[in-house]
Formats: sequence, structure tokens, C-alpha cells
Amino acid sequence: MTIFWRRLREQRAALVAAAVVALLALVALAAPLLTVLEGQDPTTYHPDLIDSARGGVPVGPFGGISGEHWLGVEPQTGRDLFARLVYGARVSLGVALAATVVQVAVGVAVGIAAGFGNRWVDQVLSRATDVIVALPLMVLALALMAVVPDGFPRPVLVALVIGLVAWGNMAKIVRARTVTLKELDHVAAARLSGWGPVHIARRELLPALAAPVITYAALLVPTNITVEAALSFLGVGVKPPTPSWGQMLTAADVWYQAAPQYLLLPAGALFVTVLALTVLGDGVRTALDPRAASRLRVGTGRKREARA
Amino acid sequence: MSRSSVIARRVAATSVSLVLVSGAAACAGPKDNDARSGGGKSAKGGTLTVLNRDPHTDFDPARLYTSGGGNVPSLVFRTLTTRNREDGAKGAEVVPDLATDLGKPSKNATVWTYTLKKGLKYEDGTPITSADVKYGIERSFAAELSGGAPYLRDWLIGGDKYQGPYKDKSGKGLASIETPDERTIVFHLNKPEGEFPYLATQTQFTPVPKSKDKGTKYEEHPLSSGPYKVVKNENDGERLRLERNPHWSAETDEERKAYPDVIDVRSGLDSSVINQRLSASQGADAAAVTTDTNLGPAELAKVAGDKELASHVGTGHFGYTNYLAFNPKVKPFDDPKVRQAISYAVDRSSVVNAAGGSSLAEPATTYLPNQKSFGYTKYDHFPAGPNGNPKKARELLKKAGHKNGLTITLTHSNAKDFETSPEIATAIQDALKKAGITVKLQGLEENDYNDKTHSAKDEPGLFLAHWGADWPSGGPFLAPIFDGRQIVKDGANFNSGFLNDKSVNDEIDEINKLTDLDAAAVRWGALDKKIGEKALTVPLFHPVYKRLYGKDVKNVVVSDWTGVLDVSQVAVK
Repeated sequence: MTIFWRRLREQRAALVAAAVVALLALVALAAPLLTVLEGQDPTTYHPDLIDSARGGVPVGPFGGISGEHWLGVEPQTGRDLFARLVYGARVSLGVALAATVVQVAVGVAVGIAAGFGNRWVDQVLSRATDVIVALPLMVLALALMAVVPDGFPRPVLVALVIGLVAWGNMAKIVRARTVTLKELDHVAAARLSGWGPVHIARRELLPALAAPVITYAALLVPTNITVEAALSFLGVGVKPPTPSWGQMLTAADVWYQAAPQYLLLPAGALFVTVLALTVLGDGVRTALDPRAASRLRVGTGRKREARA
Repeated sequence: MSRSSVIARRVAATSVSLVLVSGAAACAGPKDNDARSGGGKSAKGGTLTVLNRDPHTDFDPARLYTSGGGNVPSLVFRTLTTRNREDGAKGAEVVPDLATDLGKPSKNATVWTYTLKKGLKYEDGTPITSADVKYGIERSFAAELSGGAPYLRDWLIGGDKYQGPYKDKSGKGLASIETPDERTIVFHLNKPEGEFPYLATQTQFTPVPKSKDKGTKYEEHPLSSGPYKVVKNENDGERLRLERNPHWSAETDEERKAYPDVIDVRSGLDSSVINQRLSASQGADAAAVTTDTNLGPAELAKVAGDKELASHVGTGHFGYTNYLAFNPKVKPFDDPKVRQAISYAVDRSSVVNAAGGSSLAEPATTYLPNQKSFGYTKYDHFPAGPNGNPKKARELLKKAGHKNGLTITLTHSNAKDFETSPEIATAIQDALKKAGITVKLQGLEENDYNDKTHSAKDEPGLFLAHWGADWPSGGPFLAPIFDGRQIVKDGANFNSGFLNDKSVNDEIDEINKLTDLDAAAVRWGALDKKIGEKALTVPLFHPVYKRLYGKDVKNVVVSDWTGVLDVSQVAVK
């Protein structure tokens, strides 16, 4: 583990990305605190801050930025944009992380069972995985959102739907890895000594699977954020007035000329988050790959590996 | 970002849900005369391009659902009467078209007699006869030519049983329409209908010669009676090319100006594309208008900042009301005090802002649109002021036994129309919160929303609703919503408050007997005020339509009947 941390720390880009991710998480967690500090909340209307006769465009330069409204106000309603952005981060990040947890849990379970089980189990689970991979994610998600009763809390539902629809690739990766592991001596030895499959999976397979799973999970988070945004964009994600970045983007898409900051803020936030998580994910992958250093530096003339 | 007027009508027992997007949507028209002249006198010639979202599918007079004869349709189809082609309130009047006058009613307004003008001709030079008008109406009863409004079926004697000329073995047609000579036509109605002249503006009153009828194929080349004939019709109305009808004479037609030589109608465009093209005004788009697309709030914000563009924006009104509808069968809305409390609590300013701001919506306290032709009578039974009166609302809730506030569900659609959409719902949610009412939002997909809100069985307790009339009068505005005999148990029901009050029903019957339309309007207004006391709806706003037109467009006329820039008046030279 210490080797992992050291390798991660050696990559400056990954460090910066990690700092950004940590900051975003902090902002999301501290959203109520930050808005209290600003003196605003995400749902109160401020009709006096918009020009009703001109379609509800915010009064003042840069979308009405002021000491009271740090990032200006929303057109047509006058709701505080900063408050909506930080509360939106909670939904976007929370949903994405929860969805990733679901994807990892389902993907690993199915992958190991398929790779380690008998032919029948493998056949059934692998075909099921193929079906899940082949089904268009958005269509399936839309259908699932439509049949669930209204009372169910939306953010949880969105997280579950994304998680349960997009675990196929994770399962495939885990299965392929498990099949290879199964042939290795330490696993074969465990099997010969009569361990049960659950025991083997826990003691012998999971530790070896950690690297690919963590790597892929890190890359899944940004994908999940964009899926949540897309679902909210289509009007089936979280419900108004709960803010989410995707929902802000939907409402803002027509305002790009009249009030550009309304579109740029959620779009920028989404961009930074996805970029940071992707870079971090890539860093984690490199750090977990024992051969990464040698592979990357072959022929570059750098000799740091020798010091290690 | 667009808004189309959905003219919804109760449908006869056939129970086909008829929620139609009519061509008579919305608007344009300049406020000042500078824009009207557009820098020069109107002259004949040139090509006018019409950029639209919705294609004119089934371009057959029997199948079109129009208000006042429609826009593009009225260039090709003349009707017994038509709307007055003038700006503003004058344009909400009905005037003669093919007929010499608005019709002579019998004493109780059940028999209407019309005489055709002399010298009327089709595009092939043959004369127009009263028998052709009768045949045109009869065609609209054929099942294969459905699409029009249900009034003829409801009003004409025997209309409920008549199956149209193709199934009619007798060959005599509908007996309740008589044509004693070539220029006279007489209608016999099953009840008094003082507003018959308004109905006679619809395209079903277009003459169709029996010898030229090709059934469902007639729409490919309908015989023109108006200033233009259809030269090309591609993809079922997606692109229409209209050229001059040489046999039309301005002497018999006081309403249509017909300045351009060619009208090129292109449909199937996205509303943002239409507005972008009109604001750029390049090439043929400089002489372009739209008859179904408005400026949305964001587009208005952009246009308002540009003086040149702002001078090419027309403003129109169309009789239309957006409101909150209660279902008194659902608790707690059975209690008038709760309904009143919500009426007091609404913040119309934030609702207007959500609908696009004060340039695109006017706050409403009456159910009838704020126009004289509807009989608009000002009232505000539950004054909420511009920002709501949460104090008064709380008092009423307390009296109703909801001391600790109330939790209710508001149903809205997920359509991006700024009418029944989430923006309006959240504005109401925020206002009601101040009165201690917690509003849960239930957003439904558009079709689901239309089905549920028009079903007597599944109607939600509180929902966002809208209504537009088939013609500018209180009748088609109040009767479908508040006449107890129009409650439809299985099928499309529009009486959302399930009001069945004998005095209201009787007054509707009484007003229908009046042939003096001004006198009728006053009584519709009084009836609206009386119904308003029951707090079955909370009027929210009347939309205002802003429409861009190309920089070379002249003689812009927008009537309050359609709220649409009138293509029969536009000049491009």
C-alpha cells in the first residue's frame, strides 16, 4: 500500500486532481454552511433581481454578480446561482458515487461468480452481462424511472438506476481477470486444499482484483456524473426544486446568448469534476500497475527506477 | 421555447380525444406605425416565405381545425364569414366573406340564412354555388375526413346521425342544410346558437364542388376559392407553394390584401432555428414570417438588447388563460376555504416571470381573457396582490382546520412550454410555502398529463391547466369548462371542477339565444364573475405573444382573434 501512495504522489497531475476532487467533496458536504455564509438558499425567488420585461434576464453585469449573490442569479426566478451550484454538487457527486458503489458491488459479484463458477453459471451470467452491455443505457434508465412509484426518493432512485443499468463492463473485466487467476498456483493450491468457493474468492481472488477494480471504478465516477446530468437534462432525474448540475444545464441551454454565465457555471463545474476524476483515475491506475514505471520510461533516458 | 395554442374541445360521444394544435397559435404585430410601414408603401409582387414548426397536414378544408379560418388555409379557402383583418380588438370581430352579411337569424336563432355574393369563382373559373358550401360541410361528417371541430355535428339537426356524403345512399345530403337557389343557403339548428356567424368562419364552410371531390385525395389539390391556389404540396403539408389564383377578385373580397405573388410555406423547423433565421434576415428570410412560433424568454432578452431587431417584433394577444384547476372530489380541495387560501397565496409576479416575464405574460385574476370580445369583466375575488397574500391564506387555512399547515400535490407536465411546465409549478410551490402549504410536485410526461387531466376518473386534485377558445367569445371559453351537462364520464372531460349548477347551465342556454354578440359578451362576463366566486380555478396569467418577422416585411397586422401576424395582409415589396 505504501508503494501505491508513493507512486501516486510521484504524479503531479494526479496530485492536483486529487486536491480538486477533495475540494469538490468538501464543497458538496459543506453546501449548507457555505450558503449560510453567503446568506442565501437555493430555492428562494428574488423577483426584484431580474428584468421581467426583458424575459427575466438578471439585472446587472455578469448575471447580477454582487456581494450578496457571489455568482449572480438565475434568469426568470432570481434564485441564487452559487447556492444552487453547491447544492447541485451534492446531488451530482452523491448520485455518481453511490451509483459507482452499486456498479462495483454488482459487477464484482457477477464477475467472480461467472469466472469461478461452473460452466452453467458462467454461461447464464455472461449472457446476462452481454445483454446489459448491449442494452442502450439511457433507454433502459428512462424506462426504469418511469415505472417506479412517485414516492421513492429521487436521488436514491437515480443512483440505483444508473448503478443497476451500467455494471456490465465491470463484470466483464472481473470475469476475465478471475479466469486468469483461477489458473495461478496459489488459487489452484487453495482449491486443492478443499477451500470453499466463497473463501477462495475472499482470500485469494479479491486482493488480486483490487487493482483493476479500483482503476475502473475511478473512471466510472465521471461517466456516472454525466449520466445523471443527462437524465436530469431529459427531465426524469432529480425533481425540481432540488438543484442538480444536469438540471441547471437543461434550463440554461436556451440562455447561452442572453445570460451566458447561467450555462457556463454548471457546465464548467461538470467539466472540472469530470476532468479531475479522470486524471485521478488514470493516476490510480498507473500507481497500481507494477510495470507502469518501467513501461513508461523505456527509452526516455530517465533513470529514476534505478533509485527505487 | 415555443408556445402553441392548444385548442382543446370536448368531443362527442365518439370519445376521440381532440386536443389539437391549431394553426392559429400566436402572434405578431407592431405596436407603432413605423414598423407597420417598414419604410415604404406596400406593393404587389415578390415571394413571402413562411417558416413554421408544424406542417399543414391534411390540407383539406374538411379536415383543418382552425380558429377564424386559419392563416395559411384562409389564403386558399374562403368561408361564409371570416375574421376582420385589422389590428387589435377590431380584429376580434366577425365579418362576411363569401356571404353578403353575417347571416339572418330566425327569431330564436335556430335558423340561419346566408346569401352568397355575386361573381364568386373558383381557380378554374367555374362559379361558386350554395350547393358547394352545403357539400363542403357534408364532407366534414365523413369518418375518413375527420379533424374539424365538433360543433356542426352537435348543432345541426340530424348532425349526430349523418355519416357524410360517401355513405349517404339517398343522395339528398343533410336535410337541415337547404339550398333553395344557387346563392342561398339555410341552416336549421337543434338549439338556439347566437354565435353561429363565428362558427361559419371555420374551413368546413368552404365550398367544395361535388364533381371535383376526390375523398381523402382532395387534400393534394383542393380547389381554391381564395387569392392563392396550391401549386405544390410536398410531404403532406411540409412544404406548400401557393401562387396567385387568377379568378379571385379583390372586388368580392374586402378582407384579403394578397400583395405577394408567391407564398412559400416551409414547415418542420425547430423553433430556435426559425427565430435565428428571422433575426438574421438573410436572403429569402428577409421576406419571411412565422405563423406558429413565438420568442421565448431567452430569445426576447437577446432581441430586446438590439434596437434593429426589436423593431421587427410584433406583439399579439390571443384569448387564452393559464390557470390552476381544482378537482373538488379530491380532499382537501372539497373545502372552498382551502381553494380560497390557495387563491390568496399565489404569487402572480413570480408565475409571470417563470412564464417568460411581463412582456410574455399578463397576470390574470379572471377566467375569461382580458379582451372585450370575450366579455371581459374585471374582478378579483381573492385579491392576492402582485406577490400573494400568505397572511390571509393562513387565516383561511386555520378556519378550515389546518392549523399546522397543509401538504398537497401539484400535477404539472414535463413539456418545455412555459405553461404547464415545471418552471411554473416551482414558482407556485415557492409562493405557497410562505402560506404554510407544502407542495409536492408531480411531473407527468406530456401525453400522460393530457390523459390524466382530462379524465373524470383519474383527474388530479390540483394541476396546471390552460384553455384557448375556438373563437373570441365567452361561449367556447366558459361552456366546455363549467357547463354541467358537458361533464364526460368516459372520454375527454374538460369540466375539471365538475360544476353542475342549474343556474349556470340555464344562463349559458339563455346567452346562446342572443344574436346580439355585444349583449351576449356582457352576459358572459357577468357569468364568469359569478362562477369565479366558487374558486374552482385560480387564474394565473394570459400569455402575450412576441413574434419576429424579416426585415423586408411590411403591412403587419395582428388581430386579437388569432394573435398571429396575418399572412393575407403582409407585403414584401
